[in-house]
Amino acid sequence: MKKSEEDLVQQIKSVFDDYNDGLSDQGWNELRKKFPEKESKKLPIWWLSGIAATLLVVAGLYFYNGSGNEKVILRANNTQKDSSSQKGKADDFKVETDIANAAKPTNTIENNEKVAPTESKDFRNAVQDVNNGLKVLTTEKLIAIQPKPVIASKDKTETLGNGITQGQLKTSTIIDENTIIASAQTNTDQGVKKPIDNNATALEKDAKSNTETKNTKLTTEEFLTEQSKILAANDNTKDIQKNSSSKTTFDVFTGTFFNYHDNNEAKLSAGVGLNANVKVTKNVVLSFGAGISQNKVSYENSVPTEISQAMFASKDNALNSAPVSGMAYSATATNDVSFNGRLLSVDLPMVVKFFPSKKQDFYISTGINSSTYLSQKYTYNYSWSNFGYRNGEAQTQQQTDESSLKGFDFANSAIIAIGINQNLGKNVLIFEPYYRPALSTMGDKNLRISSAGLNLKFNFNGNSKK
Amino acid sequence: MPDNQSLVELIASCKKGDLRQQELLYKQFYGYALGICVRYLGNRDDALEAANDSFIKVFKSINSFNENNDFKPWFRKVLVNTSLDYKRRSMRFSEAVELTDTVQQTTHTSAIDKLNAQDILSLMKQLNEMQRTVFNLYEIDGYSHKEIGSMLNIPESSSRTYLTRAKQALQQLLTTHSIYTK
Repeated sequence: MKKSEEDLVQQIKSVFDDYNDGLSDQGWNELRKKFPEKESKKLPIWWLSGIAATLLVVAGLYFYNGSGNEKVILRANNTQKDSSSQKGKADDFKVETDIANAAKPTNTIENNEKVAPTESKDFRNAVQDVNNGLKVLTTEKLIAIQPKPVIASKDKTETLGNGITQGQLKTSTIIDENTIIASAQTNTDQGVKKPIDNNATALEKDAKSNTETKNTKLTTEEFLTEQSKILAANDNTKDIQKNSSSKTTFDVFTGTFFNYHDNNEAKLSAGVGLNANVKVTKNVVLSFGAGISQNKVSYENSVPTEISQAMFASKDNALNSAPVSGMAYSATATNDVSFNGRLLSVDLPMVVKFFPSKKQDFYISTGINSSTYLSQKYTYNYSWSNFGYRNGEAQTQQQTDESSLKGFDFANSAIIAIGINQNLGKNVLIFEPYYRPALSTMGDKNLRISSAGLNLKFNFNGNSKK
Repeated sequence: MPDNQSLVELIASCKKGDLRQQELLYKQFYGYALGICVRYLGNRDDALEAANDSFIKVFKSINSFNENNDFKPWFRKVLVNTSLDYKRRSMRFSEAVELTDTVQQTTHTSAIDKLNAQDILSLMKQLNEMQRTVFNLYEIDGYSHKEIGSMLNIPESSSRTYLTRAKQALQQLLTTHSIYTK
């Protein structure tokens, strides 16, 4: 090296050995913006998960306890027929007045009216079967099941339950003569290797390998050897990540959720499945897959105490109003009605995931879900009372409809979800609270089922969080 | 700069995460760090960012550092590597700055020993980025061509070439502007 070069090097070393511009305070303030790192980065995940879980519990409790508002319509007719005068209908005695008053402020249903009040169409369909079942029972089977009325007329004995042919249980309607009816409504670098980003890691190794010697050159060699190894490993890893990031990734998921149907009690259900995620752009991923889930819905009505009392009062009234003993007396009441639907479905979700942040540690997704059904089971339970038999003791009846491998509902629900990614090594654990409002109906009974829940997804080779 | 004993104590305190001691260490090595980074990056703002990143790396990994070892060489490596990372991220190696007429605007005294930091930086800026980096790595920071080749992902022979050209350019610059007399 020429002397001039040596002089230049020495001058550079001496000038830059302590390049203090007197702004160390400002520099420290700048550093403090990034250090120490706030440890709150992972907190939102747990916070959000906690919030999601809390919301689910609150929603569950709400739906569980929210079915107390019941509306009941009660109607009773007691017909006494004078066989001699053949007056029949003209002499019908209506007990309904008092009872109907007692049933206020619920719908008042006039005699012989077919009422289709405001309940939803889907449920109407579902419940129609209950009505049908009642009709069958009342016109054919009930007579066989139940003893004849206590009081029978000479010429003609009215059978029970003729009238349970019309109406909507939700709004409590079963109407005919001779019946008391009650129901309820509830209801970088070009040509240059990628950066040495892991100096922190290198530091650790470097520190360990930093020998006692003050020979900078030797230490440097050691350092560089280490660094080269790390660089090589780092580049390999990045290549793998690049490759895999361009590929489709898969995740398996399990979820628990609440189904709810109109204003009815929410049911806890569960599902499992597999998703494929296809990267469309840097921030957009198309996800589709298949899962099996069990959807349960439940509906239950019961008769309020005051209505029960009114029913019994109506019975007394009917008896007292009988002009003479031996007149026909019949009175029935439908008390409790419940409906349970259980659908084991294959769900086919298709969603678009959008990663708003650079780190891609969370996403917002929206899409649709279609379903086909492995099995469907609908159970109707109801009880009714005949005041002419065992003083109106409730008789329970059950009807079940089942089907399997039947039906396909395209886009029966929308999917709105937020996914929060948590790295687990190379894989990613995703917490995904979601809401799935019904877009159309599900199953044979056209149930409009919405759900809200939490999916726990395990993403293989996850690159959603960089 | 703190003496060796007080530096050992300072580092021990930093290992405990004492923010005040970290600030003290920062301020004591601020000029040292900034001087190294500014040589590679050419301007104070970028140099400060790289220096701060280096400090953060040190604070994070200081538990793995043995106080019995010399702190400055270890810290220097961190600073150099962080500066190189910064250059790579900025993709500045792709720049090919040729010697231009701006050289004419450089004002200098007639002796090397009177060159101040700004003069040197102005001179260095006339060099190709790769030439400047290789010159810094080899002549100032003592890396070998083999090491430089590994760090910059270039052949060892290229490192030698860049160094030779850097020296020639510096000679030319100094001669042309009469800041150096043979």
